[in-house]
Amino acid sequence: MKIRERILVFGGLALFFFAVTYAFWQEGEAKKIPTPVAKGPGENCVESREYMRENHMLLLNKWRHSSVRDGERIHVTPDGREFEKSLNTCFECHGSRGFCINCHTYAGAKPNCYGCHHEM
Amino acid sequence: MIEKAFNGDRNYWGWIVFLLVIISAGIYSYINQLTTGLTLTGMGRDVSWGVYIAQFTFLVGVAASAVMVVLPYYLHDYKAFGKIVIIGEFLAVTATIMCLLFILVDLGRPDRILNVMLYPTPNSMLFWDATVLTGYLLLNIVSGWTVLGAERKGVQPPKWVKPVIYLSIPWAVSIHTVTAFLYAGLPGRHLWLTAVLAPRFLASAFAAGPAILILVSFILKKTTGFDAGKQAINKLAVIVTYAAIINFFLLGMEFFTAFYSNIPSHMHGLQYLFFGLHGKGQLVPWMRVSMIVGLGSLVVLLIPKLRTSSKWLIMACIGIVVSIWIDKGVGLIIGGFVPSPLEEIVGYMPTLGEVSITFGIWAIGILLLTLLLKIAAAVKTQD
Amino acid sequence: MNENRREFIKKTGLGVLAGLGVASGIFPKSSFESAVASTTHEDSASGRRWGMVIDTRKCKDGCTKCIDACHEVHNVPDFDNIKDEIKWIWKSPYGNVFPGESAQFVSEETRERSYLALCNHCDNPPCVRACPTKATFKRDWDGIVAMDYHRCIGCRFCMAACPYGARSFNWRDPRPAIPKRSQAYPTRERGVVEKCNFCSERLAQGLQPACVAACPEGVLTFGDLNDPESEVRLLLEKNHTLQRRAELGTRPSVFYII
Repeated sequence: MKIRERILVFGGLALFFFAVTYAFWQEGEAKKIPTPVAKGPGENCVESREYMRENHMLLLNKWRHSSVRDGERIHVTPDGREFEKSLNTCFECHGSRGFCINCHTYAGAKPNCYGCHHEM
Repeated sequence: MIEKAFNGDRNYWGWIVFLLVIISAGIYSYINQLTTGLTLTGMGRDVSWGVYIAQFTFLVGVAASAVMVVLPYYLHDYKAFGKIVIIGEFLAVTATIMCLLFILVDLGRPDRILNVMLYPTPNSMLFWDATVLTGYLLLNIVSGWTVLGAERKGVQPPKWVKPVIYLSIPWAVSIHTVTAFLYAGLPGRHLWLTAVLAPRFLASAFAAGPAILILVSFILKKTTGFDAGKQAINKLAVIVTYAAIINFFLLGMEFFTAFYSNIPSHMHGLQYLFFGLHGKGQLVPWMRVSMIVGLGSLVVLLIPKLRTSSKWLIMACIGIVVSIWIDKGVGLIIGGFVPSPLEEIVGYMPTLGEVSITFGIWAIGILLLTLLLKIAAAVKTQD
Repeated sequence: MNENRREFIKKTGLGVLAGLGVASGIFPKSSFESAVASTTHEDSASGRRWGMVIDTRKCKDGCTKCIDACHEVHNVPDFDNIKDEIKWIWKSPYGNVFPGESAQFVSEETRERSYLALCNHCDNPPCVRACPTKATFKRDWDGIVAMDYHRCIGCRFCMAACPYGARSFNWRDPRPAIPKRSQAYPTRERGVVEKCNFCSERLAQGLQPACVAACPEGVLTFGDLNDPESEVRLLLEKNHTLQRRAELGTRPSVFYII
């Protein structure tokens, strides 16, 4: 192998190795997980806090589908409470977009709800 | 086989770089369009489809026309097409990819394109069009590549490829029929609402497609020394001639039905395109050029002495392609939108960005075709 | 018969069968069923069919109260150019709203008046047939032709299919062009098609559509076409009415008293 080719091969390998492990070279520690708190009447949410934390997007998708496409606009919880399926319902307790944005920024989630729905 | 595409002379690489520059400009314009929106195009509320969908329509025809070499060769064992059939198949592959790209750049929300498959809607012709185009692409890649690969190794192609090739024949007809159905089934668009739209699409495709094939063959002969054969070219020229006659015949039918019946809504589209309506006739010069060039080329093709002379044949083929490109790629789509359902006449002029994206996609197609034919020519000329 | 040809016929037949088999496997049953249901044109005897009667004789020239109300409630942007224009309800001259209707020796008064145009919420909507994602669909419980803006891919096939020019596309971001943002209804994003929704969000609250509520002259009457006792049906009973381009078989739910 010629010396020039060797430089190319090993240089390339080194570059590849650097690129793959780039994330590990970064200094710093994990940011603190934000823990936003709902402000409002103090009632419980439509589901438990644990469920909502992990699955709120699934619930919102379900709401979206059933209200837009099937015209079912009212969500009834197992214990009989009724909620209008709307992001505005969320905002009544959770304040504004700020509640969402903390965690979404942390998790790198970029939902485009606010492209159309209002931030309040 | 792919390595053969990386083995070329200076002209070859110059050509590749030239295409890459045009593609880069197109990508730049597309990024602009993605970030600002389709407002950067000339399309608007009344003419809501423009040059993208028009190119798409033209290219579906080019893709379908591969059947004009595949059918005689595989079904009728017409040996003279033995060398040209791979060019036809690779032309179909690139044209289909360009079609899909033109649909993609026309979408307002390309990020949601998978919705077409996630929520399949059999009553939508666009759903079927996407389905048959993807299928056609796969059929042609598989059959073209397999047969060429076998040829390189000097063996017979595997048996299973025959049914794939046979399937691609009716499939080719289906892609252009379904594309015509996109337009022909819409109430209130009178230029499109005609039963001969699909037949006319096929006729114009079988004229323009083989004409492009003839031109590509001449270029290949000059640049790579790969000769498709005089007999094949002559036969293709005859196919172009017949198809062009049928195309103009069907166009004549449209004129008769519209103008003899004298129903205003049926006449409006043709009036706007060929004569101008209420003093507005943006496309009149285009359509007249299309008619004159098309009919002129047809006359050349009809004379055997001229048809068999390379020089005249090349000019006639260019003429047919230009004529049908204007007819399908300019007139048909715009003419369907003007006058609008509210009888308003709103003009359309593609913007620079739109044209740049269009050229970009053409360059992608031509680049792909160049690479594929480079491989094919290398395989075919090595023995 | 040539051997090749025989084989060809046999194999294409097999291919088509295989294709159908694959298709029925890939697509959930429900998607085929719902699509079939949406293209039938039978009268739906059960359920509502919202409709509108427009008494054009009462409509005042130059008045745009219904248009303003609709566009404000629904955050319809105003770009002030015909290319990017978005409109849910608008006024156009007789010949434009009713092309094909007799225009010969029509009284000057009829010819000069302008007429309201909006989505007809067709009983047999061509836009719904054309949409490749069911982003636009007919609600089987009340006949409204609705849009699911979350699903629209912006192909604009529905715009080509609509014979009434009722659909608009968001060629650019609409938000900067919305004069006064209404909080009660979302805006749209760039790249989707929009149109009149018969105020389904207001109907859900028991309100009349915004245009109907805004008209001071009582031009617009809204109600259930399937209810023989409804106000719209009584008006249709008493007056000769037109539907726009009835010959196309779309069966519009908007009727005009000329």
